Amino acid sequence: MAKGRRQVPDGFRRTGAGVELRLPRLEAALLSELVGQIEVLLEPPPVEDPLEAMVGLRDTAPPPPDDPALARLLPDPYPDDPLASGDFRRRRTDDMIARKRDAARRVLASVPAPGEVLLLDEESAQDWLTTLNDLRLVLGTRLELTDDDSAQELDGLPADDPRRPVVAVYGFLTELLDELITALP
Amino acid sequence: VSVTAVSPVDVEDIEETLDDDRPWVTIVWNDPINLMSYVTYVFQKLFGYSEVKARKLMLDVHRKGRASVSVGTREEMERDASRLHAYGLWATVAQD
Repeated sequence: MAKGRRQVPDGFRRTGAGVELRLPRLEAALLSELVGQIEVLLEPPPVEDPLEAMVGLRDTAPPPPDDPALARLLPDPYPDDPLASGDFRRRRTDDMIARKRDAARRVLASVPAPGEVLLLDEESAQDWLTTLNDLRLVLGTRLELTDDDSAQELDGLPADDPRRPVVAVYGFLTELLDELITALP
Repeated sequence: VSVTAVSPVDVEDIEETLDDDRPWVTIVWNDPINLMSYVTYVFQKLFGYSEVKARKLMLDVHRKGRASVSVGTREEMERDASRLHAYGLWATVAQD
């Protein structure tokens, strides 16, 4: 696991009214862009059987995700039991995707404009937590973070390493998430 | 709200529970992305564990690579794993 870092200029603050969020213009735009991409990534898998598709029911398991980032968002609870794993996907994948997409959509709709303050209630705080974390999971998987050593390696990348911009965004999300956790009651 | 059809696998699950009453567990695995503070928070939030207990479990995951975070029936453990997945933790279900 990684250790959090501090110091986002605006970000999440705990006040008497609850948890507040302020974001400078560029950060707000960056965050909206990233959250929008989560929705694209979390496209529900098509229902293959025409009859099932027609009645809107899934009776056969969707295949496991090909994309490693998507697979990281939808872990397999039965890695040693393909039958149980397929049955779990049949029953749970659509719900999990809908849940994550809905949270991302609510976050996207609530990103505060520059100069504005977002006041988070209990539910919206959970939406922000899980969505920021999902974004870190996606970027971390793209950066091929597979163990604690590979995570440390990212701190010392040379200036011309193509991963540096993504690492910077990943760091921004890490700071924001850590700040939200600290601000929560 | 989703509609879940009853399948032969669900029936099999019930038989399994009848023959074999070893408890099921939900296991959380270490990963290099989830923050230590986040994992501790999620254990408190989802299971109502004290901060001390949540932190101990988090450190078990971090140092030993995995920890059992809840015990119960297979259905309960699947529900716990799904709740952990919703929070982005890498959770699996197994019989103890």
